[in-house]
Amino acid sequence: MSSAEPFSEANWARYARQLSLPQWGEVAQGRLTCARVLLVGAGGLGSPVALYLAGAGVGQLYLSDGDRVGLSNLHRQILFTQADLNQPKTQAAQRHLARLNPGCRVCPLPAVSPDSLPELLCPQGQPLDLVIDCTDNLASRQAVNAACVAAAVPLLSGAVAGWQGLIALFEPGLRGTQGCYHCLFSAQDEADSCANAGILGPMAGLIASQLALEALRFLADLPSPNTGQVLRHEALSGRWQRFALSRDPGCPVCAASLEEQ
Amino acid sequence: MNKQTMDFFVNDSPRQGLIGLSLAGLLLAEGLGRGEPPQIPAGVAVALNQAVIPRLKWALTPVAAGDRIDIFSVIAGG
Repeated sequence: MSSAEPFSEANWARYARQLSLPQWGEVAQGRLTCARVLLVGAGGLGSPVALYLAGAGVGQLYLSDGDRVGLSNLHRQILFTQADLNQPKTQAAQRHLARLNPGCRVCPLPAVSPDSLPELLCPQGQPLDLVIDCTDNLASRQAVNAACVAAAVPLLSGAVAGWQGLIALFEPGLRGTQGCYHCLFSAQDEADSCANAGILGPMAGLIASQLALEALRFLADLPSPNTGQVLRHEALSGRWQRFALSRDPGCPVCAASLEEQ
Repeated sequence: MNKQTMDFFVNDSPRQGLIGLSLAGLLLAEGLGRGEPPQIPAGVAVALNQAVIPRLKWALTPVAAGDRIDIFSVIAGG
């Protein structure tokens, strides 16, 4: 159990509205208090996700990003204000999250790399409970996926650009049927991002909210209708779609992990 | 309707194709091929009736009358 006592009088009040959900309660809150999560990318998706996870009482949040806050970030990266301009995102984020909920320990980290990831996924030798990928480039996404597959750490992947959003949770226990991120997309370089496709702030917020909801459900061990699915939202038509994930028998990333089992 | 053709949907739009068309053939017919010989970019995913079909199976997966095919692309923004 973490040093933050989940059910002190103050925490009863802090978490009262989620504790009163019939599906949530003390057991789920206790799981959240013990949870250790790595959030990769503190941008348009990472900002709301970090706020919601810290607010909900996630015990330990590792936050990785190598960027500084820029003026073009502020319309959607709601963790930051004009006063944070040019400051490292993770440091500004740590400050704001500590003001929101001092019970959530936030650890700022530089941008991830294939070399740094294995250690980041197993702090103190213990695998993380969840990695949430909110980065803005495919190279990082493939590196995060490969490291999560190798370390058998669950990966919640979220992406947004233009009017489209994609969300999928890749669980090690379902690897044999649903595969990994690379089974869905093997691309390494070409993809739309917020920089080249544009984005409205609430579009990032919408996908981030869905990501945070999936993360909380997963960490609290609640069932999700999206298990084993990729969720796609297309905001111009207003459509939400769900497609069953499927392992690519030719995937070089997760084949090795399956042979080990 | 000609006997040798069938009707199906791509991203909710009605399409007609020859019976025996594979998913790989459909993607080329949709103009998604790049290069010579044309290849489908690695950032394209395809779902057949709400289930993602892995790339390795595209050539062997036939499209049937009434099928709903969804084609979407990888996005990287965060």
